[in-house]
Amino acid sequence: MDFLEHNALYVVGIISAVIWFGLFLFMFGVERRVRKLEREP
Amino acid sequence: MRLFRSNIFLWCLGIVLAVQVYLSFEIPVAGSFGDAAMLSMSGVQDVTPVKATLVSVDSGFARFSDLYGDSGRVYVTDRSYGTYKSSRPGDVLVMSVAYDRSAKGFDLVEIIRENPAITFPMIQGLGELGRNMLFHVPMSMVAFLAFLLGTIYSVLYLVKKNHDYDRRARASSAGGFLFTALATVTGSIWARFSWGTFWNWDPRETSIFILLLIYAAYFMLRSLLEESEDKKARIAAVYNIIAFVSVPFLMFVVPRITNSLHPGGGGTEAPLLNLSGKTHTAPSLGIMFEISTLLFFIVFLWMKDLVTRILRIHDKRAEAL
Repeated sequence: MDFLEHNALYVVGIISAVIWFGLFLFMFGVERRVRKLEREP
Repeated sequence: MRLFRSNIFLWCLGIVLAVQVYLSFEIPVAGSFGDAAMLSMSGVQDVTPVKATLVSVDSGFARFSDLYGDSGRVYVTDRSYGTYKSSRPGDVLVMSVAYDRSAKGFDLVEIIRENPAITFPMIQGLGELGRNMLFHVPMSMVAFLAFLLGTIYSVLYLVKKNHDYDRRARASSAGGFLFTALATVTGSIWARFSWGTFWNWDPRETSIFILLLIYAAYFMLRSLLEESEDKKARIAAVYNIIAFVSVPFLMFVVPRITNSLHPGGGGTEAPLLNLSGKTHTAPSLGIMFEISTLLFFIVFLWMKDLVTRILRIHDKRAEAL
C-alpha cells in the first residue's frame, strides 16, 4: 500500500498507457482481419 | 488511407501513443513559492510541489530562486540536509514544500526530481488535475473535427451520389460520438474533484448531453429506416448536415454565453480554446497538448478508415446475396 501511495502518479500513468496500448492491439487485430477479408474474392 | 496499411507505421503509432499517455502522468507538476504560500494560507493544501534553483546552503536553511525569480528559504532538517549536500548551486530541484508561517519560509517534505528536463506548470485550483488537460481538451477537439469531417462527407454524398461518402460520413460521425463520450467521461472525472460532483447539469454538461442525443438519433434514424439504401443514405446525409449546425453552438457558444463553471464560461477566458486565439499556458504543457491532439486525431482517422472498410465489405456481401 505504501508503494501505491508514494507512486500513485506512476501507477496511474502505467495503467492508462496499458489501456491505450490494449486499445491499439485490439484495433491492430481488427485491421489484420479486415485486410484478410478484403483479399477474399 | 494507404498509411494505415503499413504495419511499421501502426506499431510506431501504438508505441508513441503509450509513451505520450505515460509521460502525461510522469512529468512533474511544479509551481512557485508564491503558489505554495497562497495555497497553504487559503487552506487548499499544506504541501505544494515547487520548482526552484538552489542558490546556496547556509547554516540552518537553503536559499532558492523559483521560476519567477522570487527567492525562498527552505529550512534544512536532518532529513533534507543530505539532499542539499549532494546538490550544487545552480541545480534545479522539484520539491514538495510546506509553508511555515512563523518562520516565513518553507519546510522540505520531499525531493521529487533533480534537474528535470521538463515540468508542467501548477494551474491554480487544479494542481495534479491539470494533467487532464492533455486528455479532455484534445478529445473534445477531435470530436469537433470528426463531426465536421462527417458533414463534409454527407455533402459530398448528396453532390456525387457515391455510397462510399455515405460510409465515410457514418464512420466519421461514429468517431465523433465516441470522442465526445470520452471527453464527457474525462470532464466528469475532472468535475468530481474540481466542482465536487461527477454531474451537476452545468450548462457545459447539459449542452454536451444534448449533442450526444442529437448524434444518437442520427444512428437510430440510419438503422430504423426501412427505405431503399439510396433513400436511407440521402435522409441520413441531410440529417447529419442539420445536426452539425448545432455542434459549434453546443460546443463553443452555450458555455460562453451562460454562467457555466467550465473554463470560458461566465466571461472568463479559457486557457486553451478562447476567442483571442492565444494559449495561456506554459510552453511545456502547450507542446504536450498539441502532440496529444495530433495523436488522438490520427487514432480517430484510423478508426474511421477501419469502420469505412468494414461497412464496404458488409455492403459488398449484402449485394452478392
